[in-house]
Amino acid sequence: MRLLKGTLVPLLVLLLWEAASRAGVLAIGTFSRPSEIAVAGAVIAADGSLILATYQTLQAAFAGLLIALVSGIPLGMLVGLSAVAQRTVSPTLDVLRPIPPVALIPLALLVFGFGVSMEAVVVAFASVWSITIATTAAVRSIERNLLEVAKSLEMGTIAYVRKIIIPAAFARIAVGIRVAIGIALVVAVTVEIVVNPRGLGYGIILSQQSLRPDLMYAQLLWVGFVGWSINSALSIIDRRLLWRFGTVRQ
Amino acid sequence: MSAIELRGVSLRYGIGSDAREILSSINLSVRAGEFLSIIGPSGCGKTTLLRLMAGLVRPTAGTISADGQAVERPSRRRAIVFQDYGKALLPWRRVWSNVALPLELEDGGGSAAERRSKALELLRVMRLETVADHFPEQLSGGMQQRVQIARTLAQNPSIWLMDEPFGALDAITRQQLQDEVARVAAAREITVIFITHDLEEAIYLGDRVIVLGAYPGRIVEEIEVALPKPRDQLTTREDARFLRHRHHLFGLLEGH
Repeated sequence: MRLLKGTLVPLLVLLLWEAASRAGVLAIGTFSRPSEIAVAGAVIAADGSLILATYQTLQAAFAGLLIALVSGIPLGMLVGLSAVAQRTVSPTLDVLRPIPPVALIPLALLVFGFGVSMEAVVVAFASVWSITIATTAAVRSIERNLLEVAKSLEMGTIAYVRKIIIPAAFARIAVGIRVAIGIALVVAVTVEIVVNPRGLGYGIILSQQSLRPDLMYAQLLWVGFVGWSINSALSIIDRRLLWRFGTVRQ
Repeated sequence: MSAIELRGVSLRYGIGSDAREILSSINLSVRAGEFLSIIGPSGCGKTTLLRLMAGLVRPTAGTISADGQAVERPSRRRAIVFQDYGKALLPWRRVWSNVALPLELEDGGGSAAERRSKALELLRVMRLETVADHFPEQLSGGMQQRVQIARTLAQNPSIWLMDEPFGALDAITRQQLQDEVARVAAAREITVIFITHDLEEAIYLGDRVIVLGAYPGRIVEEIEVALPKPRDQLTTREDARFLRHRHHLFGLLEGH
């Protein structure tokens, strides 16, 4: 029933759109008819090009995310745990952070050329911040009591990080990772639209430039669906996992 | 040999005219197996004194030794029971796994299965065997504090340092836990330093009660509690000697 109510508005929009187009109110060169979009979508779904483009976009997004994770989490922990690191590293991060990631596209292109590497690097730069900041905050907000428990048990540094810091910080870091995943998809598509000849973003801009708005709309809707699917999957994981780690309990 | 020995222990924060003396020349000797209650008004440095004995804080003057060795850092043999049990347990671990934590840090801690069975054994001591697979937040405050106590038992401590462990519990739970702590400490021959702001609790549990005065924290009175053990919630508290101790110490605490 809720699903039905949720689809009511999009269905209504599509119907009005189709009707307006057939009545000649909407220019067909700009607003393809929903029926044409559906046909175009079916064609690229059937010939495999949509699958390939989706794979390419997700590949770059997740490669970038992986880079952001393996650099952002240790960095965030370092800054969160060590006052010295906080004073020496933070100013640099504060200068780097406001650089718009898309401004790095020319540089990335210069270094890596077209392809998955340059895209992944731009994605990594865009998504690393939410991970680093979340990790720093997570580590700082660990109960002081737990530190004293660790001390009173004569816990070594490695055991302290493994048994206390990581699990205690996990839930908050996961929130940062969720934000980063959203950013990663957006930036990957952006890089493809702007410069990189691969993936869904490239498909969208190519369709527009070759005067195929029906194809463009089909891929646009697909990108939206991909983003929504990833988010839904994450929500399920969140509910199962985060409960255990104590952030979504009250 | 005394379990804990403090000689001329002082602690001050700050320097020059800003210096504040928290504790002033504390001399204290705790016998092995003794149950020592420490009571005093808030701000008298009770908790700081306990943290000094734990090795979490170093004194600015004087010496502290435990089991014949100078206290320089925390030791597993001196187990701390924190007042805020909710924040001292690991919320992502089940009850048994919280109790097994100290075992994981030992070389002779055994396999995962052995650690679990050891933890379950300690949970039985604290009457918690039915909630071994719960998460701490699913338990009442009293049960959470029991879990923390069970965890300290896994450290196999010779000394229990308890910082107002029952301060946040209701009266009935508090009495049950008092008796359990007394029973376990006696059975395992654990020396107990028990901080409380509850005068009756101090007398009920203690072999000896020390009263701290504030600004700066110092020992102002010390009494031996001449009441038979094991104590009983009804008869002990109605005993004439219990009431005499209570009157005597109550006057002292009021004086502040």
